[in-house]
Amino acid sequence: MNACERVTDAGPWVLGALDEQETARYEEHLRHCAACRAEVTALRTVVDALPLATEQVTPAAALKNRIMNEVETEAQLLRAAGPDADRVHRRAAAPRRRRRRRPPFSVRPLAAAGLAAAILAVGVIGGVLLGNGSSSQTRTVQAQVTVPGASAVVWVRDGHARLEVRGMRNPPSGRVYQVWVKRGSRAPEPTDALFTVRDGHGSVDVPGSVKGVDQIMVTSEPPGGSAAPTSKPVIAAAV
Amino acid sequence: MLGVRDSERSVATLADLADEDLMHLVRKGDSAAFEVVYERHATAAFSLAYRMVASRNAAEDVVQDAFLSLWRSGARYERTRGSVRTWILGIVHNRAIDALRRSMRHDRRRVSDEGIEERFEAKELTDVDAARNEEAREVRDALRALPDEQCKVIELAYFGGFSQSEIATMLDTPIGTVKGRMRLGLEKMRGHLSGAAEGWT
Repeated sequence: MNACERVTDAGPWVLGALDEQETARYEEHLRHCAACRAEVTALRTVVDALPLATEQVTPAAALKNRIMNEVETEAQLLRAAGPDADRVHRRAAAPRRRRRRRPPFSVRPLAAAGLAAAILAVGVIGGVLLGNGSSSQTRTVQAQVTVPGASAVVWVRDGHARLEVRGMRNPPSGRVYQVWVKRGSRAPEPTDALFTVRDGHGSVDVPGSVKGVDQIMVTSEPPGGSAAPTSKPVIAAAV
Repeated sequence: MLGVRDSERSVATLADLADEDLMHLVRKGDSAAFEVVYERHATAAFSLAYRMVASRNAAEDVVQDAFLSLWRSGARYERTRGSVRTWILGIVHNRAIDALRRSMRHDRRRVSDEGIEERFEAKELTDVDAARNEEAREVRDALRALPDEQCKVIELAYFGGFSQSEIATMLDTPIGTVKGRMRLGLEKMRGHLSGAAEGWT
């Protein structure tokens, strides 16, 4: 009925019972063997139905609350990031623009005193003006952060901004945090400000002037940064 | 869509949307659409995870992980690969296997011949709709109708996360026989289900 002898791997393959090497070999084989592909397609309909064979167990309401809390926080950030944020997937899929690679900004321990008064208020973007006794003023903006227990503050002075985070976890392995600036409804613009955190603390200067910038955002990106965001923002501040 | 506030749209409207259309909104960061997707599939997802990892806490971790990954990377859903439900359960299955391999490697043998059912004492049935109950009954019947040795290799592989060589050792059976039982069992189930399968995907 089936001409290929390797069709015996179809069952174990759809059940996920081949080991890594066997799986890779069989998947390579599947690319060339129509008989095996047909068998796998047929058997997969059965495997897709197997979850139905389990007793149905209702998850606790608390699970939904936990999940929705995270989702709502990230959705707020996304809205704060503006209508272009939903284009990140498509933009990221496009070939990357070449850009100059500069070494990541160094990470300095956070000046704890500066943040003593900064109380985390997830879900609130607020700005306060602080007179500092000199002619120029330093403005601090509390940022929204998706990471529970983390806080971020943007200090703006003379058109230059500095981001400081605390209680922050490092980006997923092999990635770095990248700072983006957003003007009006335009797409987020990449900056060369890349950072990781140490003991939850980190700070980075936002390159260039932030005059005309509405939002400062942070996403996690591959080393060297990206030309367009490839993940949802973890920090957003309205400056 | 990003500009659309949840409050501007009634949940009733979202509840009328097909999964595929909801996923379109989820991709754009619509948390209300995500909530509807969660409501629709959380029980199936949790049941599968619970069946596999055999602990409420571990199953909750698996489901949370799976749904957050769906929220963060919903773009990866493709209609051509089947229904949203199948896709979600596929993510849950993978995460549950990861969890099993991480935490249960040391005592995986204990499930060997006892029959998987004994590990799972889930008895809290919910009122899933009648159609789904009917589908579920069909699948359970199809699984039960198999000869024991075919049913066992399928359950050990799919719900237990065991590889064919682990199963062969466990059952003291040649690996070729295990492969054969898997395929035969699935083929038989397919015959059993073919009449009912049309409505699923």
